[in-house]
Amino acid sequence: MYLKKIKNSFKKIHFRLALIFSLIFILSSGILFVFSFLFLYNSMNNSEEDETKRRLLNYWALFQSNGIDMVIREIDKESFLYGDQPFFARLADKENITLFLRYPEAWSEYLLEELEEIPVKDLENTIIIKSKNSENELKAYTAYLSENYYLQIGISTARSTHLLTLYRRNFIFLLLGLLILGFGAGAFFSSRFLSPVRNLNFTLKDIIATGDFSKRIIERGVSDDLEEISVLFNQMLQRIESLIFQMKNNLDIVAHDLRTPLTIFRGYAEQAIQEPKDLKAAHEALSSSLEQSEKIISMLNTIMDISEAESGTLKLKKENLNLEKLVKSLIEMYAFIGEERNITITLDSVECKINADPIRIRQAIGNILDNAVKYSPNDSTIIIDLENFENKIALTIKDSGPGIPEGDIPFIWDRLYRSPMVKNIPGTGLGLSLVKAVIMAHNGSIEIKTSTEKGSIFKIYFPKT
Amino acid sequence: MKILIIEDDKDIISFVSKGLHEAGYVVDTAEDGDDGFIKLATNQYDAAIVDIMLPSMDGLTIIEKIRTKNINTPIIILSAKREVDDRIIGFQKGGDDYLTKPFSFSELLVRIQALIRRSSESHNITSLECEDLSMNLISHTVSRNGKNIDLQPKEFALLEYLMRNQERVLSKTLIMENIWDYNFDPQTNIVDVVVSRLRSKIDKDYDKKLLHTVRGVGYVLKKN
Repeated sequence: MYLKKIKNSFKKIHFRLALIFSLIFILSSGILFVFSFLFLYNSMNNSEEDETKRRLLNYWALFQSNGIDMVIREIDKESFLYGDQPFFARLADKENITLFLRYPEAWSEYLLEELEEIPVKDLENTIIIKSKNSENELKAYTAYLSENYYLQIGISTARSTHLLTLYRRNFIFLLLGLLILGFGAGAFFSSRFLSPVRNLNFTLKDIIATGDFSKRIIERGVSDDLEEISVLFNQMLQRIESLIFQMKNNLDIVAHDLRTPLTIFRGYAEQAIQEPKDLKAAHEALSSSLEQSEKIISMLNTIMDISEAESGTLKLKKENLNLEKLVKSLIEMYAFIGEERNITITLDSVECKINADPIRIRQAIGNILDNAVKYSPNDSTIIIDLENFENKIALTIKDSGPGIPEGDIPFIWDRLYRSPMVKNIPGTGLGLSLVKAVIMAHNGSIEIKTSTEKGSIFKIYFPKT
Repeated sequence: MKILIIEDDKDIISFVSKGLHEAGYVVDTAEDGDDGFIKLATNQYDAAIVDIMLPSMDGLTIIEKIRTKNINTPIIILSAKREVDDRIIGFQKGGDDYLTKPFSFSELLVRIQALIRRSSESHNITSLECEDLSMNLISHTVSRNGKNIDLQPKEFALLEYLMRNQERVLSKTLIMENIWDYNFDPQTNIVDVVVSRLRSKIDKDYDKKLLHTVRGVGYVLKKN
């Protein structure tokens, strides 16, 4: 279980970040350590060598001026004086037979007799004598005094070895301490900085588990990339939530809206089946149910269009649309209907282009024109203006119909709302809802001015592209 | 005339094949995509009705594969979706047609007949007749019982469409499509208006009525 916990923590980004940084830290400290250690080691070696060689030079000078006895006396004196920086001195003849040997008492661990076996005439060679019971060494250098005398001076590396060991140990302890501190602090800070990611993770898991889209990620109110992700996620959740709500809502509305025509449909069909003898009546009832089914399909399509347009899921096949041309073709069609009752349609237009779905726009404007023709009195005129403004395009459709009573205006865009005034004129009550939904889906707007004396004016604004 | 129906819904197969049978066609059916594709690829049909949502191979794939084999059988696509798929529009441009469910059988029939005619049209007709009503397609004149009738362009177009499809009930959607090139439900009574005007010009003064309304279905031009 413990292993699993560790394995799991590897999956956390903040843990991994801390780990990566710690590894980089260890690696660079290691390199630093190796370099500084080598540098220290070299410089200590060099200074020891210099010291010893200087001493040798001194004795050589002493020998040249005062002879061998003076050298021996000086060695005795110095070895006594500089007890804290001990050295050994050995005088040998050309056959490498020890003539004189002086060394600190503590150095009995070194086999100084070995010196007799190492050829004395090789002046360049650094002589190394190992200790019997420790890792310490003696390093000795030889000087040629005269034909008969060779002087060897050696010092112990114990001091430098000790220093280096100390350095090494301390460095490792320091490193370990820093590492623990660094990893701890790194883990702490990265976990702090990455808390939005954990919040996100937690909230999403929660939403998936409960299906509750009203949950939101906690925003910290600072502005960085991670906060931006949180904000964007919240916006997306908002959108999803409203879409789900609208879809549920739409489903309810569609079910409700279709119940009435379906009931009528069923009623006609029942009539048809109950009158098997009266063929004419049965035929009549069947025709009515066919008509009703036609109406149901048409309503279903319109309701779905409205729902999709309102929820923003209506697929718009937008293109660079010549609105003037479209309006003209619509007028040609409705003027044909208007002719029956001597209704004329006039157009005052300039060329206007918008980025829109031609089928939907034709449907929307067609609906308004259809209303205008339907409600206009005989021998009247419908006036259409298409204007090109600086930042928008305005389409005005003015009829001289009965207008819309003030009390009805707030409701005319509602689905299935029909003014009590027009109960005997056929219509579904879906037309204006569709118009508004389509116009809104194109980022346009629509307004209405109406009076019972002058008729209605519909104004549609399209944004310019 | 032999027609293949590829459709997985047994009820739809049943009423469509019954209707086609009554209209004088020989009907063959397939209930899944693979079977449909094999039948369509190996047999000679005058037209095919293909549903989009099918088990084992969808309708559009069938059509794609058939067309790459250079088989040009006219095909009507049945679709349950309202949104017209771009690919369907593509096929439509290639001479095919589509219908969305729920559809009316009489409309399906007219569309099939139109497709078959389109693919086998051999001679140019210069005049059309129905009882004592006659239309000259070259001089664009119409007369009944020898008496000239003055028609507006849309009225003329509608009458031509009705005369070319005599005895067939034409739905409002079909009329909208053919006369106004309008491909969706316009929620307007323009068709009724044109029909009633045409009726007043060709039928009003005569005892024998030719243009009939079939309530809930559409309009038909027929001899009694």
